[in-house]
Amino acid sequence: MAMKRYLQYRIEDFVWDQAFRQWVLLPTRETDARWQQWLAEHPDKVALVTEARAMVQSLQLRELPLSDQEIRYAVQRTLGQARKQQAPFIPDADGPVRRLPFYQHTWFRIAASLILIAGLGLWAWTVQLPSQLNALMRPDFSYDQLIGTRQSMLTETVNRTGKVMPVKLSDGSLVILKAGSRISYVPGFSGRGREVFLSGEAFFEVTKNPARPFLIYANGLVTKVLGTSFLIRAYPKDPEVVVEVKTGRVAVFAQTDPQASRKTSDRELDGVVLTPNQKIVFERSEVRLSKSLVADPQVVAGPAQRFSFDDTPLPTVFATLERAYGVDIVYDEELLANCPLTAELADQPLFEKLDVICRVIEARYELIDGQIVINSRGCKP
Amino acid sequence: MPMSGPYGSSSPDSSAEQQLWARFLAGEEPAFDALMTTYYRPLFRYATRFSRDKEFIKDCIQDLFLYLWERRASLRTDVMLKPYLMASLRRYMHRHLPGVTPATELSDDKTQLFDFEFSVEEQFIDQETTFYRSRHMQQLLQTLPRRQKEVVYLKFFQEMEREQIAEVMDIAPQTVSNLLQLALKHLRQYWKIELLTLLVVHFNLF
Repeated sequence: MAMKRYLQYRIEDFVWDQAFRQWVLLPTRETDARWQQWLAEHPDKVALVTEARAMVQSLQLRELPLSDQEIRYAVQRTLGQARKQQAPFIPDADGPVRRLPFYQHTWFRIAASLILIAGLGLWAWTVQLPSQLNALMRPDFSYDQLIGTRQSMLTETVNRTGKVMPVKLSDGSLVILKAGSRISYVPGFSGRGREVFLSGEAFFEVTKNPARPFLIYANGLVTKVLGTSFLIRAYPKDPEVVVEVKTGRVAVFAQTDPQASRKTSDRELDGVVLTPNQKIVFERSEVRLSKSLVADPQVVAGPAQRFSFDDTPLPTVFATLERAYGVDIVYDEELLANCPLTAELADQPLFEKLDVICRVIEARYELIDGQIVINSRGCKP
Repeated sequence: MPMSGPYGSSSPDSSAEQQLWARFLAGEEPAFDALMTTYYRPLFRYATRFSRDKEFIKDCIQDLFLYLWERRASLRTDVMLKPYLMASLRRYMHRHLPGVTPATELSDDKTQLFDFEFSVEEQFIDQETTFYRSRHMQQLLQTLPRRQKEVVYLKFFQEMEREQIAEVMDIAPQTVSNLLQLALKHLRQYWKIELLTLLVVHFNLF
């Protein structure tokens, strides 16, 4: 995108520029990076852009308040109405009734009516009522609420043993359930995808099957994988959900995501994608996802690394670490190209290795959005 | 004057949208749920331009979806979903607004039905000058002619493309562009802002 035109912009040009508004109101990683860079290149525009941002944010339509809960309730109520419209057609769906002659007998009609009434009542009780009651409550996507709205039978496994408990699923996947945690799923995964509901904490090792994505619903966060291993922590009282990836790739998105139904059903990994040693923290109340690294990243790549460097250029050192831990290290290649490192870093965890390296080159590192960013002024030989 | 091009993509994933609509037309209840949940808020926001009666709006949206569900066998499959729903709701509400007779419906240019209210949310502002600028921008918005205001609203507050806006308002795409040009010209009166800011600040001193 050509950013040049913005040099001429006055404040109200910014306010009514669609790309600018999108960055302010719905920033993505890409747009944010682009604008931050542009501002770094044009520091004289910072004040102007800051003010234009505030204007875009502050100018709103005076709206009638409408909560997510009200929407939830309105949708459920409408669905209920729609079902009522359809109800008379339901008996027809079972075709064979037509060719049987006994339906013309009065006794049959009475019996059928009674059964229909009882059935409708039961149906209203089991299907309609719980979903409406649920809609009335806060739609917090808690475990109990999710289980309650499912209409198919679920198998529940509760770990009351006081220690971790392995659970083998029918597709060969393994769930290591922490004490006091519970999972529910459709027995045999008879459905389109493989769906699991989690309350508490569990480590998952999912068998590969790209045709049938594996989905875990936990406190409003949906984790989608094709085959990999990772940990999810979603206790009912926790304000956040944490997902930590050990191997493979995992996608997460909020259950309130407008695109959630597509994201759960297609075969792509969309949403925020996590790679090994990355973790995501999902803040339930704000529906906000933030990416970072796990506390102690583990070596993920193949053969054992020696991490023994002798006059090795820093870019090579970083490349070794990136490969070994599957992490991204961002640094100024030009600046560090000629900095050699001599060190034995075999036994420390990743972050201690980075501490050592940074001490040598007088740099600092920070974790930004799941990446390691090295801030350095280069090295003096 | 640099204008934002028509290329800024803001239409949300149209193939997923089409799929959802197809599933709705096929009678899938989850699609009904997803469709209504996805579009409820934008429809509600749009509807508040025609009525301030919350329950009335909710009833209209409910009736609209039930109507679509009932006739799903005979509905077009190739629609631009959001403008289609908004245009349908607009028509439905116009027909059912209390006190609207067919005559007033035809000449709704004269009625005050389409009434925007912009506000300035102070929590985003930490400088007084910004506040006055925003306030002035709000006043400029408020004084826009009705149709210009609606175009600005649909483009910048519902993130719609030219063609979609044309569909909702039932006018030619070129007319949308013209209205938008006029509106932006009006909204970009820089010197006036400066002057007014000074005046307001000055006035406030007394």
